[in-house]
Amino acid sequence: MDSQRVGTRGIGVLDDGEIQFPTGLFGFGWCRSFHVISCDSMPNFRWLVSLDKPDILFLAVETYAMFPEYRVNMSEAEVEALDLLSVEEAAVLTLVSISGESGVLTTNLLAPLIVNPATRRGRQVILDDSGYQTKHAVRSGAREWLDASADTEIG
Amino acid sequence: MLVLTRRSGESVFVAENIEVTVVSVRGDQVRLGIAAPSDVGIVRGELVNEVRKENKEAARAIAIASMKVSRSQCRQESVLKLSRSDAVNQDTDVGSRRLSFNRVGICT
Repeated sequence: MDSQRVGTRGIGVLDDGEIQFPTGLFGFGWCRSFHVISCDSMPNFRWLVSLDKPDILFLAVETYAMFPEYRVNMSEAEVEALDLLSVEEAAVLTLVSISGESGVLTTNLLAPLIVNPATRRGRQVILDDSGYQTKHAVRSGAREWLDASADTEIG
Repeated sequence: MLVLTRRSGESVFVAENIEVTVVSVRGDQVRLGIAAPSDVGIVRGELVNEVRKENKEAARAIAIASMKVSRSQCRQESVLKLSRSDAVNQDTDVGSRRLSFNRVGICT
């Protein structure tokens, strides 16, 4: 199957505001609308606040900004399903978590969020056979870092 | 769950455009062939389950790490403010668009 590398120039192209995931995220099928909020003190990170269920909050990273060698290959049909005119312009985000008592910040490189910045619609895709992990280490000391970074004026 | 018995070489259709064929059966391994439109995602079940679990863990870890004491209240307010400011007028609501994240102890 033909596949194309997605989002190579897509860093910083997704403005703050509402985005839609028409099929939800894995395990969160009912969470379809999110508010994207960037944070000056955490460059390349975005908050995703659920508009369907206010208790649900994710932190995501602009994956290419942090891992320039990252590869997202999608079939032409998958790219078309997102109405992407240019695959390179897609925003690629991966969800962030914190693991273990020491607080290692990890990101899910196996299942990136691919968002069309023009239509503001996206999908979480699973990169089967990519070898990527759900818990790829980003940095240690995550809790202190988040604590220091997150209390920031937004707007 | 619908359970069907099939022999090697037989298939089932899911809707009219997805055909799943049993290619071969050897011991406890079954080889499946799937013919589907190219925009239909086909992913192994264990990966879907792994990603579901990871998403839930991520939401939980980030929620715990980033919230003040009365977290749902804070969240609801901020979401309402954000939604409203978008719907009405970006300029008038900037002062109240403050999402306060955790400065108190972060639990595990």
